[in-house]
Amino acid sequence: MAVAERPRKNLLPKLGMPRGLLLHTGRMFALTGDAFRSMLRRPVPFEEFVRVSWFIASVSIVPVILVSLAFGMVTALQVGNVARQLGAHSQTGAAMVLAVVREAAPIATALLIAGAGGSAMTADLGSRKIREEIDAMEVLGVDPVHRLVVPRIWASMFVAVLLNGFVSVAGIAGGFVFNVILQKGTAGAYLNSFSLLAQPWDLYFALIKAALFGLVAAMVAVYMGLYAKGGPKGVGDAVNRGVVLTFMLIFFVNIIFTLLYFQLIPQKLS
Amino acid sequence: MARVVRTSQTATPAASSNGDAAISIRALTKSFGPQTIFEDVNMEIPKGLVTIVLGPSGTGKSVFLKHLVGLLKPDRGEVWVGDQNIPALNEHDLYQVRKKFGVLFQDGALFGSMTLYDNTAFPLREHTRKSEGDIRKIVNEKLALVGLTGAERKFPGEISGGMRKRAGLARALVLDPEIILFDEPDSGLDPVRTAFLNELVLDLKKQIGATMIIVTHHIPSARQIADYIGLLFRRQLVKFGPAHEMFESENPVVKQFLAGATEGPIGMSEEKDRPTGGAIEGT
Repeated sequence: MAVAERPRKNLLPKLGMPRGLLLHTGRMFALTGDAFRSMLRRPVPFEEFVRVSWFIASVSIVPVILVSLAFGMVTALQVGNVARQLGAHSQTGAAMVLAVVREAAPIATALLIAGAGGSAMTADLGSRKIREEIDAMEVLGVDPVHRLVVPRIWASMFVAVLLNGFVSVAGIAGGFVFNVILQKGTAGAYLNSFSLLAQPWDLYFALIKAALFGLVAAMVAVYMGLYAKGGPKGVGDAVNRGVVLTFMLIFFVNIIFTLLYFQLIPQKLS
Repeated sequence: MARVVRTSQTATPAASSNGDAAISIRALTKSFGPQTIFEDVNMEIPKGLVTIVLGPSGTGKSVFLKHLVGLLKPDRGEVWVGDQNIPALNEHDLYQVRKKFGVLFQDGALFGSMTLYDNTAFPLREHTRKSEGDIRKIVNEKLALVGLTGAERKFPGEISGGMRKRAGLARALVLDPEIILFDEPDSGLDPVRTAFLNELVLDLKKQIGATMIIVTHHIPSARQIADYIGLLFRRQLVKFGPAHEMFESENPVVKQFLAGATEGPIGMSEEKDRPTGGAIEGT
């Protein structure tokens, strides 16, 4: 009744999807902005940071190692076959390091952090949201962005960087097993070829990339959690959407970042 | 219903609430998307008294309550607490003014990761510099007040809904707030505990002189403890006034709701509700 007589407030065409997309994008960036602003505010919620870091690490460390071992093995198999036909079997290690350190490790880390840690974060915050815990916190004069979002962002970035190292080692070890033991390569050649193509900047960039992916995973997870609505089903939906969105965003951010990398850092063979 | 219906005191352009009102609500309007929740609600909530906001389920009573503490922003309108207009405050001032409030949420809204003791102690640890000894004394006192002595070490997940609600009340009271908001305090409580809760509300009024705003649809409680009553129905504040006036009102909506009768303008569902016509009046 009252609806029909009211002038429409939004000027955007009523397509639904773009408007929803804009709304969510805007709110997510607003939340990210708020989070960055409260990052330096005291008291730093250190306890929560440690708790969340431990939680994320504990749920993602085993799967991420298994994934990267397997990835290293498959890469070694693929690269090894081609390399052997070209007579460059001893250079497999060079390709392995590039593949694992530059790409596989940060991405595998981020995917596992999003899948295991991020989904749990969304579920946790979402159920708090629908139980009105978040509202209660605000009414009790505590800013949930400072108390809940900031430590989760730090934790996710911190664990992503640490796990990234772990995963790189596991991936290269997986490649070693395949290349040396199964494909009868030599250990010396595998290890020796590491520095053929790779350079320290690969590692630095991988660490920055992992931190950035951790940030994306955390932001999407907390956003989805804090804006969950519609009861327990809403929380389930939020988790689902959060994981899918993080996966897409991480690959997108990765493209941009990799392009940037090739522009900024001179390559060894060019 | 596009026409603007002025209820209770019409909005005055004064810059703050008048002296004896704890909260002045002026022309408060809120909609979610195309759905209008309420329109042009005006209310002067008197200081130190119990005001009950009644209304059929789904009339936005909880949404109304959330506007008072700035958890939701209205589309239009003002909420004055002292000399501060809640919707216009920046985040910092909002957090400051919220310290005046104690809120009891529908399901207690306790922090699931903390025991009842820690939940109740939370506001004290956040906002005061009291020692753990002092905190223990206050927390134990408040928990005793709501009858939860002995349950301090339990987690919210391990207790019944009624206990959660009472623990939520203990937490809301712990900072001795000036204004206490209750979101359906009697839902999920048995009649005896509801009676105890009502008694507690009256005690609090006497002891700390707190202003209390209670959202409910439990008429016996309203009869027992209300000083003022407001009735929300179909996006409007139908009537707001002293409790005795409300119970004697001839307004068909008020009469039907307070009597809990099936005859009258309030139907089973929103679509079947007949237009209230001239039933909405000012006080």
